[in-house]
Amino acid sequence: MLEIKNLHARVGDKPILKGINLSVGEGEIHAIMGPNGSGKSTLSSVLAGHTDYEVTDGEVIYQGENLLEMEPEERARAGIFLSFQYPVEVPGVKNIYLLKSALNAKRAHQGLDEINPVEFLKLVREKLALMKMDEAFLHRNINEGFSGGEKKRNEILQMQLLEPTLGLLDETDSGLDVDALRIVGEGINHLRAENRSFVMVTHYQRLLDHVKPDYVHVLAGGQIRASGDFTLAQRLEKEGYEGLLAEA
Amino acid sequence: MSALESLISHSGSSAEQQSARAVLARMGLPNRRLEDWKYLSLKHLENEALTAPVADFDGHASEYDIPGFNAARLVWVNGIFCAPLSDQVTGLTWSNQAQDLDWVSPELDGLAAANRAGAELMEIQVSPELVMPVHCLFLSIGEQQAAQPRLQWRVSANAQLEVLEQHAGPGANLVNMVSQFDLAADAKVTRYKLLNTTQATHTAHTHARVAKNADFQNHVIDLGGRFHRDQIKVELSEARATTRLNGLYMVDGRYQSDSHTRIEHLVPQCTSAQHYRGIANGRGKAVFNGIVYIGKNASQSATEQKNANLLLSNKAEINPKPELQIHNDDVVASHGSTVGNLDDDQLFYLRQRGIGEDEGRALLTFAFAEQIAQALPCAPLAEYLEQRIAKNLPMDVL
Repeated sequence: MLEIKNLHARVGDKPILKGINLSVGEGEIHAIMGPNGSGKSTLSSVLAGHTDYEVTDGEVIYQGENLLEMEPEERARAGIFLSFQYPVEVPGVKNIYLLKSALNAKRAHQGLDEINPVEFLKLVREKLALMKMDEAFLHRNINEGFSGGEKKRNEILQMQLLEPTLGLLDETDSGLDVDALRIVGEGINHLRAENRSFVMVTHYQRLLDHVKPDYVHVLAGGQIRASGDFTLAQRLEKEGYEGLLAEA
Repeated sequence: MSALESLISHSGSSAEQQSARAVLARMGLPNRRLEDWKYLSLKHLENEALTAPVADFDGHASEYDIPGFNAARLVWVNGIFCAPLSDQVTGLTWSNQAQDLDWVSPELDGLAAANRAGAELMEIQVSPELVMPVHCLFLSIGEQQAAQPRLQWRVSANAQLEVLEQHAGPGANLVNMVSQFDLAADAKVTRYKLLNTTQATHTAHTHARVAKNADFQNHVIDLGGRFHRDQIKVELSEARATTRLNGLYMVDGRYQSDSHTRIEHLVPQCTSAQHYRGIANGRGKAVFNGIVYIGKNASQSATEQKNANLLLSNKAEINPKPELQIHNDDVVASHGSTVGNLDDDQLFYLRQRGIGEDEGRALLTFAFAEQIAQALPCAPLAEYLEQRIAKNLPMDVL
């Protein structure tokens, strides 16, 4: 589904990704772990097409297409969803408007008509219930005045609705208390499917206790330094990044 | 003949009008040499002769109604009050025999002088029996007429006035208006001023004086036109008087909008708040000049001023000038003014959800203005405004 080869990227003059190689197959969950400043968030931002980052070398093939040539909205419509580490507040735009526009943009891409309002509301209510969110959320401005946990839940709500092919979860566990972490974890698990993959970027193991990855990679200094199965995350928890990276 | 010569020739005959006429002849119309007129000028009036206004209208005033805003309608055509088109309503009485408050001095500028010299004063008394909102419709019909409405609102103790002042119509007139609001103790006025004329040159002076516990709220919406200038002064003259001045100005093409506000805290324990937002596109020009004056005696004053501007084109221009003048130490004051482009992070967030770049930009522009619409304490008007803002955008965002 996703092939990353020798990916280099920088922000301004500062190189951050220095040759990432990663292959994500259909239905797989990959966890990218790493110390602060290792380039984890940069990787998900580059995959989503954030304009602050410049790709200087390498390629990314997504479903047979050159991902790096696609605009951010084209990537989104093709099924790439980024759950932001810091979801952006957009005062003056209601959540429900975003949900509807995003869903219809995707449907248009698939050659479908706009969703009818009754069907839309039914669908949204179902997803709200799953994320244990109140319907009032729909009529609030996007993320404005939301707590950290509410913002993250709102991200997963959007992901539920848009049913992406590739979910990029950037530090989705940060800022969540235990209960919110469980709800968010369930929200992600609910979406697991044979044809849907995830790349989860995280600093800690705690999200991985709820959403068990198939593969774990350790990113440091802009490169993947170690890869393994779930037990790698458990070793990291015990030995810390320094211990593990010294060995590697 | 110039507009100035026309205005001088239209003066009335009373002693006060003749004296204002002399002031006008001496000062002329404002020009860019005046500090308050530095950025935008009335130069286009130099070679425009203005005729005396004619109240000629054969349409239906209801065409200009705001859906859902049920109000008593008062109609002016080219600055002339039209009683046959206006509603009678309990709690509201009008007269053209009243003594002028004369709070807007002819010495203020040539436009104030021209209005005093040429206008007929209408006083509207508001009593506590008034329960219905009022819709003052100022229609501008025809070409190059000098429309000069002059209004004086006397809002008695405990009375409440919700008034929409709408300027509309296709006329290319000069509309030079003066409004005075006299709020007695515990009175409340909420005024919405909707500038919906594109061809008229609109200039206005408003002066409000707010007594004990009274509240004056003013929401100005300038949807863009050839030349719109709105100048307002609010005096908080007795304890616990409050005011809020909100505004939205949107200029595109070669439209010009000029907002000048002055809030004066003259006694202790008064509160004021202000939030103006502007969007300039094309070759549009806008000015925001907001002064808050806190006098020596005005301890325990609180004031908050916000001004945000969105510059969408490199040929557009916005000149913000927020100004706090504080002469007392016991004051809580904040102010901030920004000019910027759309937020890149917000735009990326929308695009990451599949919304195209153009639609995302349109949506964020709408959202910027929407914050003033959302603050309107009148749902039908907020909805009307949202639709109007959305209409100026390249796609459907509602």
